[in-house]
Amino acid sequence: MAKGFHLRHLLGAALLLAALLPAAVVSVMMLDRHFTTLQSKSTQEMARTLDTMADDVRFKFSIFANNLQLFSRDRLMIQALDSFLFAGHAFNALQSFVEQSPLVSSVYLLDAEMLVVEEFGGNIVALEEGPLSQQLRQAQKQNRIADGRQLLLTFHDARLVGDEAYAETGNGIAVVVPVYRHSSREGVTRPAEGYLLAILPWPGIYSALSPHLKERERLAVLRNGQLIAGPSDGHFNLSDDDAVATAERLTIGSNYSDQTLEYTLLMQVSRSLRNSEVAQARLEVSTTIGMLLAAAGLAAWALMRWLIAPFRRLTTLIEDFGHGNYHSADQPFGFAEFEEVRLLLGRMADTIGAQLHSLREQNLALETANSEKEEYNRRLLGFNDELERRVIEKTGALSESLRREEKSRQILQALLHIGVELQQESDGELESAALVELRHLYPEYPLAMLVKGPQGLSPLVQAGLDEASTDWLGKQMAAALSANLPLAPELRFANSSFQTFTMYASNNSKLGILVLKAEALELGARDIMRLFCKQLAAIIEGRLLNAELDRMAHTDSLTNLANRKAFDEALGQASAMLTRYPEHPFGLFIIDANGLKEANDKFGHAAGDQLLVAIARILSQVSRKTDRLFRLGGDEFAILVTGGNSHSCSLLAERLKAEQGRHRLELPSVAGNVSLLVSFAFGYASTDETPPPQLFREADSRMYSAKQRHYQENRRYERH
Amino acid sequence: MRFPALLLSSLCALASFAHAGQSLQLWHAHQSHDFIAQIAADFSRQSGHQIKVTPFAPGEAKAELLLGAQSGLMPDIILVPSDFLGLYQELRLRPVDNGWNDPDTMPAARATTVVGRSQWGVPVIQGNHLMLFYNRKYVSEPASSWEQLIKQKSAIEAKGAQLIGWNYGEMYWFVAFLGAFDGWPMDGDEITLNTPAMIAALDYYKGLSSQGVIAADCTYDCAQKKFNAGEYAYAINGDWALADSRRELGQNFGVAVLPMVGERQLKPMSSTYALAFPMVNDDPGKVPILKAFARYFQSTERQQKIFATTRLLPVNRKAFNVAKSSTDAETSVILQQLELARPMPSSPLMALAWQAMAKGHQRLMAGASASSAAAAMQALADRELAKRGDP
Repeated sequence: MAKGFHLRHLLGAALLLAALLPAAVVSVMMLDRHFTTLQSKSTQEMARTLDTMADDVRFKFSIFANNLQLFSRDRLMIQALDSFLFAGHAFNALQSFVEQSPLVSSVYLLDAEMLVVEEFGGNIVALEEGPLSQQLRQAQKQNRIADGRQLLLTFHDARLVGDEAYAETGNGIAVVVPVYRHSSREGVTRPAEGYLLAILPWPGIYSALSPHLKERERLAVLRNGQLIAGPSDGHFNLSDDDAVATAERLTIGSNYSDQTLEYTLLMQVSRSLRNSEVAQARLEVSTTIGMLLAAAGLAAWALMRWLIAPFRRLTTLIEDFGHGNYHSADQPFGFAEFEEVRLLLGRMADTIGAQLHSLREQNLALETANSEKEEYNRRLLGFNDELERRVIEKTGALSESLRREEKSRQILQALLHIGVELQQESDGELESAALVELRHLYPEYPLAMLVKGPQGLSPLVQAGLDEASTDWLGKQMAAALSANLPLAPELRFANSSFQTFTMYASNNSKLGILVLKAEALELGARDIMRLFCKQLAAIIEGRLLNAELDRMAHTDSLTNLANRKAFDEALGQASAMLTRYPEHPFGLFIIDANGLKEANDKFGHAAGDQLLVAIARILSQVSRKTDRLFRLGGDEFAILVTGGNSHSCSLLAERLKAEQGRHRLELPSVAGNVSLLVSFAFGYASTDETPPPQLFREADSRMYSAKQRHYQENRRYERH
Repeated sequence: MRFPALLLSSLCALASFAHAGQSLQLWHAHQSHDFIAQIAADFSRQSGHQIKVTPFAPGEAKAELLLGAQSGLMPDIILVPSDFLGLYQELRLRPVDNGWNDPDTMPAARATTVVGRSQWGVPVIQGNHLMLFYNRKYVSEPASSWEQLIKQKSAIEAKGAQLIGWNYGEMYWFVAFLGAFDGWPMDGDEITLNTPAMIAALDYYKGLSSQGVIAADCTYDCAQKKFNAGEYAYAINGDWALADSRRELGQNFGVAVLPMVGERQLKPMSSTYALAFPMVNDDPGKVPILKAFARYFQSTERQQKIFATTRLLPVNRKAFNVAKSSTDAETSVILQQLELARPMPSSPLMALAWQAMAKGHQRLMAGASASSAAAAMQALADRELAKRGDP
């Protein structure tokens, strides 16, 4: 930026100075002259207003006096004075007169004795009783109301003025004129028939003057220095220090009267109010001049802007050129010198532009190469990012896989442990152990389990379930297992979900049910549960099969009684018990079927089997519940009598005897049905008399003895 | 034989109208202008003599007639209240004989037109008495006493109307109150205004104004235009205004007997309206036409028609009996009020009494006491009598 003054600023300042300075000087001079004029005009205006008011009152009074004079010659007045009956007409005329006379409030028609004949707008009582009536009578006596001349009187009577608002002043002018019967020539004296009296209240006259007053002006009417009429608000101070007062003499007279009434009109304006008005006017004028000067300044500024704009544009153009902007000079200059510079710069711009174009193309090629390189780099970075992301993903997946692997390993270990544990558990603890293991694996799921045992359903086991849910689930599971009914994979009870897993045997029958309280199970957990249930089912099935095998090993398949193996074990156990508890003896019965061979031979082995079954049934019926029955093989049975001393054994022997000969077996044969007697031989021994090792032999021996007796007796019968 | 005789007499009568096809003037100040104009038109059509009817404002009628008489500008016929006949000298009226009356004209009505020894006009309608008009929009049951009426004031004003209006400064209205206090402006031929009854009545009358029952500047407009416009709930007005109010208010219009002052019944004046005949040019040729018009107006047929259209009471006995037998409530009130009214004295002094009362009332309203106003009334009347040379 070059140092020194800008030419355009100097030019602008000169223009503003030339525009504003003369106007400001002239305005100040005019303002001063205006204030001087205002001062004198205000005073003149007050005087002029008072003059106008005085003229107005004189004019209106003059009109009124003329009208009254004419009205006094109205024939209606005479008629009313003549006859009371015409008063109605006079009333209308009086009304009309008052309505057409702006200063008059009332008018009275008086007879020669000054008594009211008719009136309009007045107050008869006030007039007759008031001081004006006295004045009238006195004037009549003094012959002052004569020769058709009007008499002007002033009075003070609020009731006659008729407006209570002016009661304090109550001043007015009364004008009386005589009424004659006949028109007469000038100079002839004759008595009046009556009088017309017009009342002009000062409040009314004052109201007629009020429109001449401006807002700040106040007027008073004085007579002999006394206030006669003033503003309606009563605020008029004759000795107001703040007031600027102007007075005007008011003389009221009539063409028909030699009298005049002298008054003074006094106008006041508040000095402070006027000063403030002058100040207001000064402010208004000053504001106007200020606005005019501002407008002139604005105009000069606009002109300056217009003139210096090319300078500024040229400067900008050159600056732009300097900064390499060669295209900002398209618009031509108004001034020729500037235009030449612009064209020169334009040509220079073209040359520079061509050079720049070449440079720009080279730059463009470089930029393209650069951008391609940047793109390559960007892609490389993207590839790296992607690679990193994938490594993270793979690492995550691997971690997850490992975690699952670990979990699966744990579960497998748990399952293996469970398998081993369960194999080792005794019957009653199988379910509890399984439950503990499951709870250990999935502590978040409350669960219950019900399985079949060798003796039917095992008791329900549960962990973490409430009582109601346990009961309900117990019933559901028991029903499903007992009746082998299907069970839904998910049960709902008390707004809870229960996932069910059924344990199936190899023949597809239900072995047990596991229930987990869970809304849903993830697939892994469900698979593990199924696996667990399969393992548990295998164990339960094995347990059941073992029990069955054990049962079959100790049972005679024909009679369903315990077999010889069971007898040997039982006898061994009883002997061992007797050794430990000698006070608890036991007895042993050996029973042998009679006629088995014969039945087999005659009727076939089926008949022999029926005979053995019948004997087994009889033995079961007569034995006590504590007694144990065995089929030792062939036709031989045994009864191990728990607590069986000799006496109790004899009682059983009696019951067995009682059964002899009571049962027959109906067998079919080619010759028809044959009835075969069911009979058996038995012998017994008790440990209270026979030591256990000899017990079987003793009992068996006694049985043989009995059998011998049976056959002997049978042969004897056959011989007979 | 009868028909030729009738024809002959008619021809004679027509022949007696020496000035057939004449034009006559009739002035009146009755509010029901229409029925007068109708009768004049009917008569004109029947007789061939034109009767031009000119109405005047009621308040100015007397003075207009007196002025007219003084200046010799009077019509051939005037229709005026019977008390105007007392001014027969001032109005230069023509005396009439009994032949001007219809044979069925009621004697009492005829008596109102007799002043001194002569009859100065022929009565055509009677009544002319004041009644209480009311607007049913504001009043369901008309007040029977002033006390009741005053009690209704606030309720009526709440409905946006004013209580009551009448021509307060007009003495024809005041005299009904004077009657309530047993006063009367005339005692025979003597004006009696300064009486205790007058003082009591003036006191009461002024009290109605000062209590705000009625505005002192209420004129006939209150009772007529403003009442008919629905601005007033009540009005006191005469039978002459019935037709107008009935037409303007329709179903809302009601009429009742004037309310009582305590136990005292208001006694309005009743009078007749009479045709009178100023002797303008004393043209004897017009006399038969005037007489025929008088008889025509009093005929039973005309009188019945007047009552039927205006409810103005007939002076014809037959027509009056028909009116009396009417069963409508309005006629019943009109007749009931008529019975309570007192006939207006036909004394020539009555005109002075009216004026004296008006002037006294003016004084009363200007602040004078009732007693001094009554004294002023009497003094004014006495002075006027003295001026006339009467004792």
